[in-house]
Amino acid sequence: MFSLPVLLYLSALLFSIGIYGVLARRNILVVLMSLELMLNAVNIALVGFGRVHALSTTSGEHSGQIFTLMVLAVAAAEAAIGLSLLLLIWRKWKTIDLRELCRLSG
Amino acid sequence: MEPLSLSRAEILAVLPAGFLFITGLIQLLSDLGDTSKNSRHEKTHLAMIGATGALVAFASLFVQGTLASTGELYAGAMTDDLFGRLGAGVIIVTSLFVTLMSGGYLSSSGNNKAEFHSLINFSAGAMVLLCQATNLVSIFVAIETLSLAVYVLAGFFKENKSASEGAFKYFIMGAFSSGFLLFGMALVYGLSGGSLSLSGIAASGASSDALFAVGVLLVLIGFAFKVGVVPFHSWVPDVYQGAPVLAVGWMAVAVKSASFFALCRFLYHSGGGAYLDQILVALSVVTMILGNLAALNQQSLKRMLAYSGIAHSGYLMIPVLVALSGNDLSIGASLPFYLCAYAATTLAAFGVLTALSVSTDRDNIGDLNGLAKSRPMLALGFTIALISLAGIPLTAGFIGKLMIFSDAIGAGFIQIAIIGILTSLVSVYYYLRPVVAMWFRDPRSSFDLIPAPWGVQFTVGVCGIATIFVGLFPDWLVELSRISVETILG
Repeated sequence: MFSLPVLLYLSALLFSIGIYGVLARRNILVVLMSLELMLNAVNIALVGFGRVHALSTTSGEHSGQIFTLMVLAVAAAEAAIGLSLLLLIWRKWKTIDLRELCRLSG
Repeated sequence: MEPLSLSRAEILAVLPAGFLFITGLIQLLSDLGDTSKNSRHEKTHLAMIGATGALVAFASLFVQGTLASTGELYAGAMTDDLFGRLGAGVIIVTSLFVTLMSGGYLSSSGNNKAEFHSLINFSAGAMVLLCQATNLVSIFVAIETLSLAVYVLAGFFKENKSASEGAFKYFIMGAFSSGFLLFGMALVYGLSGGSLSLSGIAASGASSDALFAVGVLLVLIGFAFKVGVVPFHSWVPDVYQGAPVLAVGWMAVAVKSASFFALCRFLYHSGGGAYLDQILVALSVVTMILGNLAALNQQSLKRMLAYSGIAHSGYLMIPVLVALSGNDLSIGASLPFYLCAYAATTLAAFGVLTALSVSTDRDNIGDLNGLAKSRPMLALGFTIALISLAGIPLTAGFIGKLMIFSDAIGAGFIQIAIIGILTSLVSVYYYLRPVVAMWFRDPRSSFDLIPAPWGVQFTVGVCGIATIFVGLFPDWLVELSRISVETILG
């Protein structure tokens, strides 16, 4: 099994990759995937913390795991909204390149 | 495992949010029977259902009857203190006015669908829960529920390219900030001994831990995106310009109020170590200066109000900072008061913008020329809103700024108070430009002003009167804010 620091480093690494993807990539689909990656990176940290705290406390609460389930539900709803907005953009612009979306500025 | 049972206090605590969610569902269902599919009708019944639901939800805020906190409900997930109820009150009243305005506004552009009304109510319910949330999970779920509803509201005009683009930018930035918020929450949860509730985090005494401070900072960044604090503000002007005016008014008032109420509650409990104060000082100063300076040369009214909203977020960071650094809660009472005053003022301003956008797509300041001759009452309402935003005496905005700056001076942040006063002097210039245009310029081009819908007239009138009334008789609201802030720690 992995120790908590390993899980946290993995989580931070995935989160950073997600940030890079959102800021640097121009394909909207890749940006949406990077957003999901950010949320799921946090899930790894939450599960890691949750396991440590469930072992250390006598009550054996699994609040970290429960938080993760909530995050999964929210991430699914967010993906639904994101993909429907993507569809709207595709119908209007016939492109999913973020560079094309620069009508508003200043 | 104890059996699942709800106490009376727990049921009463969710009534306001519950009524709002149910109202939204009824509005959706009521439109199913409408076979005409004509979205140019005003559909007054939707406004009436929404207004009834909002009034019932507002009345249910008073059922508890006691000002004291009822402690932690739902195993620490939410509370029912006066602070949360004051925030809920601001949001419910805002949703009432937005509901009344939306029928006339949406039907003028042929987009009057029940989804808009029910999304307003769904997001209002989530905001009420956010004001009452005392647990990391409930804060996160509430803030995501309201955000998802508002993303759709921002892109509601599907045929409008700039609205779609604004909505998409808002979605990307919002989801990005949710990632930061969530990562911060994970760190706070992990380093506070496995506690999700805010009181448990406060009791764990982890605030000296460096990684815990990073977690609090990440949560702060997440909220800073939502309220548009510099340097996390880049989406605000684009969304304000592109999205439907009413959705923008809803975002400007309700999303900002709910986020500040939740941020305030979170930071009171978590603390954040020595560096957090300095970061808050920096954020507040940069936001006040950049927001006001960027607003100076905007020609578009919507962009001007966007930058003005950013500047006001900067002012609102001051009471958060003051209360956090001094741990003297009575001194942070300016936050609820300022949010109430800001809600009334901004609703009046966006009511006028709604009235104008029924007639024309243009929103340049020059288009207001001579409005006082053609629509004197509208011009009067806009003037009251603008001088209140600028902080000129006899208005609610003046009392709010006075409280914030005197709190800052009382807590020893004299430099911030001076910067705040100087920047609000600068802001008088851009707030008075539309006023001069309305009252002292001749109409430049003649476009026919369609009479404003009745809901818009009602909103501008009531909010304008409320702005002046609170400016003349602020004592009761100041007292209410002071008591409410003291209930945060129970």
